[in-house]
Formats: sequence, C-alpha cells, structure tokens
Amino acid sequence: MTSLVEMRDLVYEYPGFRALHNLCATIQKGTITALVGPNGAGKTTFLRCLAALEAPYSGTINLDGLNIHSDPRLSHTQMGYLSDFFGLYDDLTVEQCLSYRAYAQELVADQASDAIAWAAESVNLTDRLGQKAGELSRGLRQRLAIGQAIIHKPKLLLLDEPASGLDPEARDDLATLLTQLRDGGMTIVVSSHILAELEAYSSHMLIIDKGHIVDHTVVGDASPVSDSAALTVQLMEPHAEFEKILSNVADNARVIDTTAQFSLKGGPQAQRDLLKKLIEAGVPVIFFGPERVNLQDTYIERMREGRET
Amino acid sequence: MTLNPELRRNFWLELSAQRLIAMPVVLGLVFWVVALNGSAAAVSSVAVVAFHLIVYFWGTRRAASAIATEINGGTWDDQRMSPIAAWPMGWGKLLGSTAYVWYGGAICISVFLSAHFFHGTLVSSFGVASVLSLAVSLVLLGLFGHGVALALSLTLLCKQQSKRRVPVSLCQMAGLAAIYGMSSFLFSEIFVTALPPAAALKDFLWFGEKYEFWTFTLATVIAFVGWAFLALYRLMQSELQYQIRPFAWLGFTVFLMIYGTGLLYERLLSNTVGAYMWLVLPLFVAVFGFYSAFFLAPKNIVLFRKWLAAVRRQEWVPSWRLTPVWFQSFGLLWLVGAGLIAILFGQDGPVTSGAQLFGFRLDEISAFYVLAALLFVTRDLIFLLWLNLTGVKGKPDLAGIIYLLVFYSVLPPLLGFAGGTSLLPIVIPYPTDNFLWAIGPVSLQVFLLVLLCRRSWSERSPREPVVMEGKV
Repeated sequence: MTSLVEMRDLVYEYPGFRALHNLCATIQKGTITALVGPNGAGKTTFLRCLAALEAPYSGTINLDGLNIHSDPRLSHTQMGYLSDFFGLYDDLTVEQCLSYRAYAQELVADQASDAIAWAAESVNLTDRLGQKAGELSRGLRQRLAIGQAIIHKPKLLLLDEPASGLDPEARDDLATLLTQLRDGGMTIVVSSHILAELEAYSSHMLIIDKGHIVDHTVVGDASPVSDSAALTVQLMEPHAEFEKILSNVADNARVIDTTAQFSLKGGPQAQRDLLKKLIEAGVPVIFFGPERVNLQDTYIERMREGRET
Repeated sequence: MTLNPELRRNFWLELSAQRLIAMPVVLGLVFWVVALNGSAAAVSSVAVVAFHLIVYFWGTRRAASAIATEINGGTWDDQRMSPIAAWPMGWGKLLGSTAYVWYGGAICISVFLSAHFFHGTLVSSFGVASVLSLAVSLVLLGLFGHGVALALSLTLLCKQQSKRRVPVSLCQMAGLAAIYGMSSFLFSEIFVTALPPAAALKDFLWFGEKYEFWTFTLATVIAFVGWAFLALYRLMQSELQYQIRPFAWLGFTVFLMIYGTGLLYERLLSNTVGAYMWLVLPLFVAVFGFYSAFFLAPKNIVLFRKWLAAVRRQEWVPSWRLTPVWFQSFGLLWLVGAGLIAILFGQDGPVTSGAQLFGFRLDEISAFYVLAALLFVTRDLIFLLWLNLTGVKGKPDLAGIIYLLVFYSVLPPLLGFAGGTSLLPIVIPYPTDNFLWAIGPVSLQVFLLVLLCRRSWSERSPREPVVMEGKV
C-alpha cells in the first residue's frame, strides 16, 4: 500500500503555546483514519494544518509528493475539508451551492454539470437540487456540505466532527457514505468524539493528546486495497505447534494462551493456506477471522500508556 | 469565458428579481417627486445625494461585510480551500458584494447625466467635460472607498490568528473616511458649491508642471484606486496562504512621499527654505507609514520566531518573505531620518525658516532634534512590541495607542505646567542644544525596554519539544 500523506516534524504554535509537537505520521491511500483525542488535544489544529489552512511553525506535509504549504492553492485541488462549524449559503439552492463549488474548483461547464450530478447522487440529494440550503434539516445540510467538499473528487477528504448533532439514522447514512467514498479510492481522515461510530468505518486510528501522537494503529480490515490482513485465531486449548506455525508465515504475531493476533500478507489464499496448515497439524482452531479491535478499548489503553510514559 | 465564480455567487445572492424591481421603483418615485416640485438641477442634486447614500454609505458597509459574512456564516474556510486565485477572489468579492449597490448607483448616475444632457442650460453652464468627469470621479471614489473598506477588513482579519472577527463598522468608517478625505482634498470646491463653471476650477501644480483640474484629480483618484486594489490583492494573497514578498506598503509610502513632494515642489525650490525641507515631508510620511503598518500588522511571537529562525539559517528568501512590514517601514524611516540629519549637520546651527508643517515649527529643527525624534519612535516600537509580547489582556495595540496618547499629549503639558520644560526631552523630542540631554533620556528608555522585551520573549517562547513518532 502506498502513502498519500507524509507528515514530518510538524510543529504548530499559538503565541506562547505549542499546540502540535514535532508530529510525524504517514497516511496510506484508500484508508479511513479516525483522528481521536480529548478536547484540546490538537485535533482541529492538526486537520487545519493538513488542509493547508494554517501554516505550521515548522515541519512539512506532503500530499502525494506535493509540499502542501509551499503550494497550498494547488494542494487544495486535491483535497476537501469540512470544518466542525461549517456553513452553507442558506439563500442558494442545493444546485447553486454545488455549482458554485464546482466552478470554484475550476471545473468547466460540462465537467461542472457532471460533478454536480455525481456529488448530489453521492450524498443522496438528487431530489432536492431545487431546495434552498436554509430549508434543509441538519442531516441534509451535513450531506450537502460533504457534497461540496467532494465535488472535485479529492484524493484526501478531511472531516472535523462530521457526526456531531446528527441523529442515529443520519450517522448511519454518514458511515455508509464514507465507506462508499473510501471504496471509490478516496482517503479520509475523520475527527470525532464518537468512537463507536468511527469503529463502523475506520481502518486506522490516530490518537493525539496534548499535541503529541500517542498512537497510530490499524484498527480494522476495512481497506479493500490492503494486501495485509489483521487476523485473530482462537484455540480450544493451547497447542505446542501453534506459535511455531504462525511465526513462519505471519508478521508481529502476539500469542497469549489460546489466542493469537497477527498480520498476514497474501490475501484470502494465504489465509486459506494457513488455516489448512493449522488443521493438518492438529491445532484445535475454534475461531479464525479478521481481528476486530474495539476502538474504545484501544483508545483508552493507548491513552493510559501514553500518559504513563 | 467562465464568469468569476465568486462574482456569480454574489449575483445569485444579491440580484434577486424582487430586489431588481424594488430599486428602480423606489428611486423612480423619489426622482419623480423632486421633478414635480423642482428643477432639473434639483433632480441632478438629489441624484448625487442618492448616489452618496447608496454607493458610499451602503456600499462601504457591504464591502466591509463581505469577509465578515463569510466568517460568521462558517463559509470562509471553504472559500480559502478553493483554488480561486487571489485576484479573482478579491475583485469578485469587491464587485459582487456591492453589486446591488452599484445597480442603484448606476440608476442615480444615469439620472444625474440625463438631468444635465437633456437640460441644455445645465450643460452650457458647467461644460460637458466637467459633468462627465464628475460622474467618473463619483464612481472611482466609490470603488476607492469600497476597496479600502474591504482591504482593511482583510488586514484586520490577517492580524488575528484565532477567534477571527471583522469589525465591520470600523472598516466602513475607514472606507467613508477614504472617500470623503479624498473628496475634501481634491473636490472641496465642487462638493461645497455643487458644480462650478469650468473656469472656476483651479489647476494643480505638480513638480512645477501645470495640470488641468480634472486631469489631475482623476489621475490622483485612479492612482489611489490602484493602490487600494493592490492592497486588496496582496492581502487576499496573504489570507489565501500565498507566499508573498512584502513590498507593497513600502511602495505606497514612497508613492505618498513623491506625490506630496510634487505638490510642495514650488515652495521647496524657493530660497526661503533650506535644503533639509526636501526631506521633512518624506520623514512625516515615513512616520505615518511606520505607525500605520505597525498597528495594522499581526504581531504574534510565532511569526517573529519564524522570521528570526529563517534569518539565523541564512535563508534569505523566506527571511524577506517573513519580514514584518512595519520593520521595513522602520528601516525606511531611519533612512530618511539619517538623510535629514546628514543635511542638517552640514548647516551652521538650526535653520530659521519660520515655516510650520503639521503644527511643527520648522525653525527648531536640528540634527539632534531629528535624532531624538527617531529614538522616540524606536522607543515606541519596542514599547508596543513589549505590550504585544506580554499579551496585554484584550487589545495590546489599543492599549498602546492610549499609552502613546498619554505620553505625547498629557505628560508634556503636565511637565510644562509644573515649570519643568527642561525635563521635556524625557517625554518628547524637544529642541535643545545639549546633545546628551536631547538623546540621553530617550536612549535610556530604549535600553530598559529592550531588557523588558527580552525577558518577555524568553517567557513566551516554548521550550524545545519532545519528538514523538506516529507509525502504522
């Protein structure tokens, strides 16, 4: 998997206060990264730096090889951003809102029409193109705002607290939409406090606390383009050959009693071969499947570890 | 060709069918009522007044609100994320936010011109050129005021790193001050007496050349509109994260020096003033340029540290880019001041011209006096920087202005009242033959303030960070 965003030694300061401390991170293409952390951790500042809306004190962010702070305007053609306090032009219709953003993204007439139709369909607003933005419900406004942010099909989509204020159904729609966009090749970074909701679609979790990255880890196997799968195998009882077989094929295998968690390259065929090998060796497998990491538990655990160290 | 998207969006918002009908109906009623009871001249005057109200008063409000509306509505970040370049964004906002206002203004100007051209006596009294020139001047002044209001709103926005707000009324007042300041300077005869006969309009002398009234005034207004648009363009670039090299303000200051010197040229050539007079006006302009730049510029410690870090690394292009505008103005001020000091040192004793400029007695000017004045400006700079570094609650610049008013307008009379005129060099540049007493007290103030500034700098600079690596 190739990286889309390379962040190196990012430092951001407000007068008398350092908000981000030498952050280094890599975001892979086709992933959804959940950006989590307590209030005041620096999540919004992180996203705004990533969106080239704020110039950092030092450090670099490359988006597909382009230094975004050297050429923010060009980088903006490749990214979309939705602020936590986004706004819409209430007196414009949905179509006019999308049209403005399409033309602002320098799309010409035919391209703009196609982009408006695609964005409206993506966010399920095709039947409301003539309605004024000010007349939409909170959930529909959110969709329109996302439609505006993706109208130019950016490589990177940054969403700051997109689910706040949404009802459960709208949140579910949002999760579906983000998964669809990810499946379409978009890389997404989502900041949110609602971990249960992030769990539904995130492939990675980036935890920030007091301006430091506490952890940046894989949390699911949600990536369709990944060759590597995070797996869990559970046995009925311990077996002597188990760890040996795993260590021959898997990366970073962690075996505790009857449970093992590891990454396995090679796709479904490699998983089938490993399962076959375990069965043939007489290992009493009772579960073999994708590792489902509980985002909430991981977050709490990493935060505690981070604060202890 | 595609219409500027920012202009297109503003047209959608500003020019609804209902509004397009309402404006001519309301204005038509007003003009009709005036025409029933008055002459064509009265209609013409009312059209000009309506133009002032709509384009100047309402228009400056609209221009000043253009950015504030986006910020309050949460759409400014979206606009900054778009790849619309600075100039289309700037003029799209300038003309877009005032589109409806100009629609009304166009009706007023049409009525003004019609009243003159369809009423032969008016045109024969004033002349076709005067009528047309006045109409063009009215429009240009509107553009100038709108440009100033929008540019100031961007300036004040760029000042704030967080909690971004635009004081709309202040920006509107600045736009109105620009319009009426320029009008009172160039068109005082016209606005006081309405259109006088062409023969009554005085010519202008600029660098010894005689220019017709309308040629000079229109050229002046066009030049200032150009500077307002350049300011708008550069500020928009800055807000949109372009990496720009700051030269515009310096250019504007030099322009003002040359423009003003051109108007004083005949007096400067006369034998009654010394050679030093050539630099007195530029010095005043440089002082104005420095204080204006300082109060309008962002002054947070992060920007200073970035600038100094670039200088330390000898990265000259980023250093130049990050150099505060006020620092350049400060350099220009000292350059002009040094020139003036050099001329004054070449003369025998203080100059005795008896002339005054901006209330200052020029016969008291001496090299020591100018040096003391430059040191007082330096003291003010360091004091104001210190206020900004210590993060005085709320508005350090406003606090600084109040302190400076106290320093320069309250303390000197108090000392004078107490019979202590000999102590005045402590608080203001004061003419004295004693070199040490002229610059000693202010030099000591500069030294002490530098120490204070250094301490605040250390306290406000974060310690070196711990490197944390995020890895997948």
